[in-house]
Amino acid sequence: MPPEAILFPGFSDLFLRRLSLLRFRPRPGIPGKGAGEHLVRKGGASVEFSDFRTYTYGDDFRLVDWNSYARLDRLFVKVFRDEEGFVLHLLLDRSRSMDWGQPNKLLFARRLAAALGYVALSAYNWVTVQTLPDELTTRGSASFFAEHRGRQMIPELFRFLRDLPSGGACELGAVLAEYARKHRQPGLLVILSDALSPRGIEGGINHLLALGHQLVFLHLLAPEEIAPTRAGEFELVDNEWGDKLEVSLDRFSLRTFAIFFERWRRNLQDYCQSRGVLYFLLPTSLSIEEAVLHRLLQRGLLQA
Amino acid sequence: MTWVQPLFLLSLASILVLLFIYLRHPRRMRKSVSQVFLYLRARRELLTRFTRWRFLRSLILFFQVLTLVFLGLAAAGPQTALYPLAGRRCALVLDNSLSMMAQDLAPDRFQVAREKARQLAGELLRGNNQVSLWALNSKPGLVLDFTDELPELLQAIDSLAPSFLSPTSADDLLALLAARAGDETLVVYVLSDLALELTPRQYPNLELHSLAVGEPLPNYALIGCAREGESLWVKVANFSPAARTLHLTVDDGLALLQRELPLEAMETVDLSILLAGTPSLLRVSIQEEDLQPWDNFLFLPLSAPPRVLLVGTSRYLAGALESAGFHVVQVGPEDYRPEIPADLLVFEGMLPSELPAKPFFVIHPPPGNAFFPWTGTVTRPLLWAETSPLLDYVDLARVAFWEAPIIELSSTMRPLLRSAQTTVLAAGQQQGIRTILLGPSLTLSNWPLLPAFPVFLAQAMRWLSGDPLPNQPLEEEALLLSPLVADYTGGGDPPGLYGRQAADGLRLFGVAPLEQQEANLIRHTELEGLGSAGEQRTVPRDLTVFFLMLALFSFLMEELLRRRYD
Repeated sequence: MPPEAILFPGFSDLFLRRLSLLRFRPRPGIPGKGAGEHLVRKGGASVEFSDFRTYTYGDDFRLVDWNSYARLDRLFVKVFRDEEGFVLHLLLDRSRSMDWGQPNKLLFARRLAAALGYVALSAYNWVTVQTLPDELTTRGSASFFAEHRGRQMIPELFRFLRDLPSGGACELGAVLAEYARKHRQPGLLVILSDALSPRGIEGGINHLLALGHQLVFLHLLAPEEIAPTRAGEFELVDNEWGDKLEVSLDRFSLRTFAIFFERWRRNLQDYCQSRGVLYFLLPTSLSIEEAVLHRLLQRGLLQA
Repeated sequence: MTWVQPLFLLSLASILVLLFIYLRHPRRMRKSVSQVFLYLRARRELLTRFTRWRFLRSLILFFQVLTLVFLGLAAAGPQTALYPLAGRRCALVLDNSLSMMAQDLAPDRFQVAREKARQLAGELLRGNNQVSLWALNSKPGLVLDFTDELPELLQAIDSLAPSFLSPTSADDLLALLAARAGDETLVVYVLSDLALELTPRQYPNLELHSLAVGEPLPNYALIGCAREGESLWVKVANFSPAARTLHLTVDDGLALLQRELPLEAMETVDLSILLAGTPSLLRVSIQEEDLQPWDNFLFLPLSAPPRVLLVGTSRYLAGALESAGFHVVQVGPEDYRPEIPADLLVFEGMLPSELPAKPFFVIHPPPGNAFFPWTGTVTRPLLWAETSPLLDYVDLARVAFWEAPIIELSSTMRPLLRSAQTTVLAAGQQQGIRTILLGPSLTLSNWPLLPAFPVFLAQAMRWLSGDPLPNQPLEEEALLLSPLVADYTGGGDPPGLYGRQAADGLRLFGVAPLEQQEANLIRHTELEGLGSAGEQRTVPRDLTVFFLMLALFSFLMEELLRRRYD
């Protein structure tokens, strides 16, 4: 059993083993950082052949394709793809609205972040975790996990996520824009949030895209949010902003609300897809294994 | 407007219902959610897109507006107007009696009523109704038969002039209207200062609307008085719409006492006054003037009245004697026996074969009798009166006889009223017994119809019985009531004319047994039901409470809907 398995609650040994077999599959062109296991387009020293090019002065003779020279009497050099690491930005929404639902959305998000971070660190990629809505300090904040790489950082990551408390109110769009302004190293950026921000998150996504990030939006929602079932006369209290609303929910209005909610979610999904953001709806009713090993794997965020 | 009415009580009850619903309504359960903005947007979406929610919201708004409208209407003090009629037969009754000349409304009640009648005529004819015009006075009648021509109707209204006779009641008018209505319902608008029952039960074919003319006037009344041992019981009522301090006087010719009585509106009080001395007759009176002066004084005899044996068939004579304070026993001429106990005797149209040994009054002795023989008759005698205490306060100016017998009188009889040919009235002694003779028949005279007759009759009987009358213990407590017109002849001047201050005239007022007190009370109770005799019933009814109740109901509906769907 890997030592880190016991560090994060809810992760079984089997699950960790299966995670260790997974790799991220970012779209081509993702900016790399340092050596790693991810093949990039430009020439490198990996065993993965990429192309030929004409020999120029100073090229390594060992890369000359002598077979081509024999046939064509011209010197060609074999070009191989390089293997680099990339930065995985995990933006974890831990606002009060996330600390809600059965199963709890924040707990689900922490597990998901741990799983994704595990995959990234296992593949020798850089991982940084920014929790929202805290101040976006780059170093020394309890809500910020700075860029690290290597499997040895997995326990550190798990500890960070395990001890993460829920935060206050968060205007997600503004916070994402702020993050884009402060962290200019592009990479694979995964947002784990319920997107329940009254002003929307579209502005923040635009800022992140402009910086060259490849964006993945993991939309975490509780089943009761997607389709509320409890009818009655309620005074609804927003646990994040404290707003109150008196409503009488009967079957008709509940059904209407579910339709409206689905339309709102689909609008967000369409927006993401129109801008190349990989969107995943992940109800918290899913198990973490199901979410990672089926949804994310099947939809191409991960590969075995 | 009086608040103690069913609609108001009902509205109070609905407040209780509202409170009950409010208290019983379960409190909203507090529920923590991850967001409310989507709920808010969804609800807006519901309200704008879904017909049902839009309708419910409209309904809430409708009831809110309705509540405001009803509150506004209630604040405006609405009254029911005459509802528009169409294709009906209507009777417009205009009171042109003397009381309508009162100038409490400018220029006077009649002018105001006539103007209202003109306006009403136009409204009714615009509704294709047929309208007839009736006058209400001492002799109510039809002025213009059913017509749909406005100029003709207006001309008839303008042609009506004030009459100087007053109706005693509207019964005759109602009877005429009911007869004219036949099987069809007749809509009657009465513009009068009389208080009428709006729905006379005896005339179901009349749909009566009374338009009051005149302001509510003060009305006080002495409901009754009686002796209670050494005390005098007096019941006084203020039927006026306002509080008033009344001055009550008790006297027996000389003032015994005066008392101030502060009375609230519609208040009735019972007084017990200790009697001083041994007066034989008390008068209790209210000094303040009011609408009905004839119920402001009562008389209480404290000695037993003489017993009068009336031999004759006239009911009016018995009534006049009773109202003058005598105990009357009436027998027919054939039933007369000298043994019948009596202090005085009255013979009408007969004389016994033997003159009685008690004082007697003979009215129209039969021809051929032995004591007052006839020698002929004279038609329409021209009368003049002698000076006599018996004729004090007796106004004979309007008294006329159609025919009078020519009677030869003995020297012991003194003529009091005579013509050139005969003596009509004489008084004196016959065989040593006090006797009064009235020659003509009263059925051929207007004298019983005039106030002068009971005045004379009372004084004549008093003279016959000797002066003063012997005091006798009371057989039962008696209540003196003011005489009603009907007690005399069924017509004539108002009884208030009898309220003379002279001591001799006091016994002109009728004595009624105590049980009649109830009748008197009932009469006043009926007046009380109308508010007071002076207060007029109006057709416009105050709808404030009605609209308040509607506003409350509307608010209730709005509140229920809002709680459910807002």
